[in-house]
Amino acid sequence: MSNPMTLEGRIALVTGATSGIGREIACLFAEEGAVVIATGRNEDEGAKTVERIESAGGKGFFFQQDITSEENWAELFAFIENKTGVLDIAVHNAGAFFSKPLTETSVEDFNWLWKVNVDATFLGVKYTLAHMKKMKTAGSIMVMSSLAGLIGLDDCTAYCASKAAVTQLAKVAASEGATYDPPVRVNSINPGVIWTEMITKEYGDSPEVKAFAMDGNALQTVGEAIDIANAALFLASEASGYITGSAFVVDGGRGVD
Amino acid sequence: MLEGKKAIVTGAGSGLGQSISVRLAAYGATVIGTDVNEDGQAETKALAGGAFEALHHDVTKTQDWDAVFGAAFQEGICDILVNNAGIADMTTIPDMSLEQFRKSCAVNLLGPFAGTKAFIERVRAAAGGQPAQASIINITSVAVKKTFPIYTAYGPSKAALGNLTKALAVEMGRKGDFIRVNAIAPGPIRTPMTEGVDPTPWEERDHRMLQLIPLKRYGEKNDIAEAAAFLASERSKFMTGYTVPVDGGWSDI
Repeated sequence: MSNPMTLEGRIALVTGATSGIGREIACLFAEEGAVVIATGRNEDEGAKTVERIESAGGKGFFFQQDITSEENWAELFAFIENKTGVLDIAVHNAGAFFSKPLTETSVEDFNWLWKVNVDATFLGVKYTLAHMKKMKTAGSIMVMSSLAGLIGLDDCTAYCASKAAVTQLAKVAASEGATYDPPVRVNSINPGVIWTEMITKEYGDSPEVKAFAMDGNALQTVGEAIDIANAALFLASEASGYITGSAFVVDGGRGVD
Repeated sequence: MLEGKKAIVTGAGSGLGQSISVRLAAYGATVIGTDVNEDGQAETKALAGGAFEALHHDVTKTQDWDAVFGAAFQEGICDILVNNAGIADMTTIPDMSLEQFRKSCAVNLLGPFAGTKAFIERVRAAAGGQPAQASIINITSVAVKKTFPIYTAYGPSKAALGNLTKALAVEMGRKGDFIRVNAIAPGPIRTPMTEGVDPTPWEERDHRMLQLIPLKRYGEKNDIAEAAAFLASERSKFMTGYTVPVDGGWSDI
């Protein structure tokens, strides 16, 4: 019997693939057979992602990208069309994070995060949908939201607001994509606390922080980048062909409401 | 993906339970499929092959559950429980008796409750003091979030199962075990259950429900089976208390 979880023969874009969750998704997708276009700002780290893909026998390209530049999105899609042809899967994963009490958050802080997390995701989904519609691809698009896009997280007003926007963006994009022939599916992935640089850079790599990451979720274990990559694989593949518009929560039970 | 795992699937003789059994077996699991429908069980056995064992089981009967667990835990541990058996009584409220309402709750909620409770005890006992590991999957419905005029008994019974999923996920985690509890909420899928709710032949129905669904089509039984395989496997090891909506976008858009 065939395996619907495979990505054999697919072309996948993963933004923010130079570290953490994005790198793990890029590597897992390549391992499952996809040709991966990995993007990010840092060329050295991008090269490391491609190296890891290739050393596991996969195929990947790096494209240096500023996700906040619309011009750069147009260049990326020109690159994809020249290099690989038709995109089947896109994970709009790149994003940023900071923690500050609301009263200490300036409008500049807020707007900076909004630009990276929301404006850039909007551009990414817009260009991907247009490409998939034009190419008549039964595509799957994912945006990286957060549990913080569904419930509040202390001292993270800007982040929570931006991720709530991204969750909703995915639902309306799903509605639009469903009208295409063939339909394009769009889902958000909403991770809980996942042990990556995004957490340790902001909060430090201490036992207290790790305890916070573990104790707050029902499973009392640390979420790993591979857990999100596996959810992305499921949503990217034919195994999830009837799932669209969902906020796919992978949080160890932290947000069970 | 499920090599070496053992699973119990209730309602395995038809529809979603049959597809789930076949897919779990295809991914390498040994499946104990339970049902009251023996002809259907034979069909599932033919589709799933040697890794499938059929047991007669009415989920509302405690002694039936005991027999199922006796077989499942005979040689050590059982890793996966799929509470799939369910009924869809679409009688509207003026015609629905309290007995009918109770019957929906007995099959869709109390059966899974009794089975899950006993399953957890068995899993813990089999773990012998070590952290117990298991994945429990409840098949609920889009009716948990969306309602329809004929969901008087079906909706509440499934909604309660959806809430039980969350309550158990939180409770299981806090006991220091690694027992995950998730649900799948299917949208409309053509199965003997959904065919049976209306005497009008399938082809002659108005299918107006499809207008509510962004993907404008029914789901396939395998869509549910793949979600079940994912939740049963280590690929979802950081997921608990979640309901996977497999409904063409109906509940989210």
